[in-house]
Amino acid sequence: MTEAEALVAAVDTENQAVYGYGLAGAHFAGRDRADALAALDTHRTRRDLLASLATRHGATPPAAAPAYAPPFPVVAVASARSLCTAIEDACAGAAWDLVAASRPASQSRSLAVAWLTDAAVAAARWRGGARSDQSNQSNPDLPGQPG
Amino acid sequence: MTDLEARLTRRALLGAGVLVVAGCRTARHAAAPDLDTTTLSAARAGEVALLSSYAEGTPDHAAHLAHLRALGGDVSSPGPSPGVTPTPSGPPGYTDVGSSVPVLQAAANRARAGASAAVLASIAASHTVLAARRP
Repeated sequence: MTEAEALVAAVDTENQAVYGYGLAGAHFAGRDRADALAALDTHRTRRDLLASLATRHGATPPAAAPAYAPPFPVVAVASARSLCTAIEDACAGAAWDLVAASRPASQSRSLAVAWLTDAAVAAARWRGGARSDQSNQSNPDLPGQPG
Repeated sequence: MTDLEARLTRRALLGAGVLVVAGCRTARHAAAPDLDTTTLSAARAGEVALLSSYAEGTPDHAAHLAHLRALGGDVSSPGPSPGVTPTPSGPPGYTDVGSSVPVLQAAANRARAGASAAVLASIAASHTVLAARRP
């Protein structure tokens, strides 16, 4: 995978994260809702930065689709938390790929290293509140590691 | 409507074979004969030091053992796995899991091999989570 390809994939993942947090947020109240809305903003900002980097690498960042199908029905707080966990696990995976594909000390590398930590922390936060095991099958010891 | 499932489950459905894969991958990574070798060696020494802080069988011990193995080491020695060229092992540069994070992130940022960088970044991420759980 080239750096440009990893950046394009990262933009696609963040597009889905933005949509997913909107979907999940509709089921939350209180702190969960505030956290989901803050995460939505964070992912949107990161998506834009990744898209800018992709363009600089000569790639065309993918536009967000009107809607995305979640990996399981999101019908209540528990499944919404599981979706947030799955989103962050997917982001950790995309960040891992971008770290691996980017040049040392590059902007992409720096962004991806920080992104991987952010995703792991967020996944742990949502995983801690999740009651469903639907999204708890990743390896928290090595966030983002490909299978 | 596009398919969110493929992306979201690609990473979320990792199973029990992950640690075995980690061992295979990092043996390759550690073989890179460059600056990364010293960096990985220091990271292994750090994981050995952190491992000694936790009782065997605890989640933190298991996590650091997974990190050590992902770096190509094992509990018997902070050195590289058999078959990997030995290299000098520097001090880890940290004494607790929290202070390891910036060290590991800096190492990930400068690592020449992308695969080594990803392992170091992932361990830094895991250490951040572990540090947040500590009282």
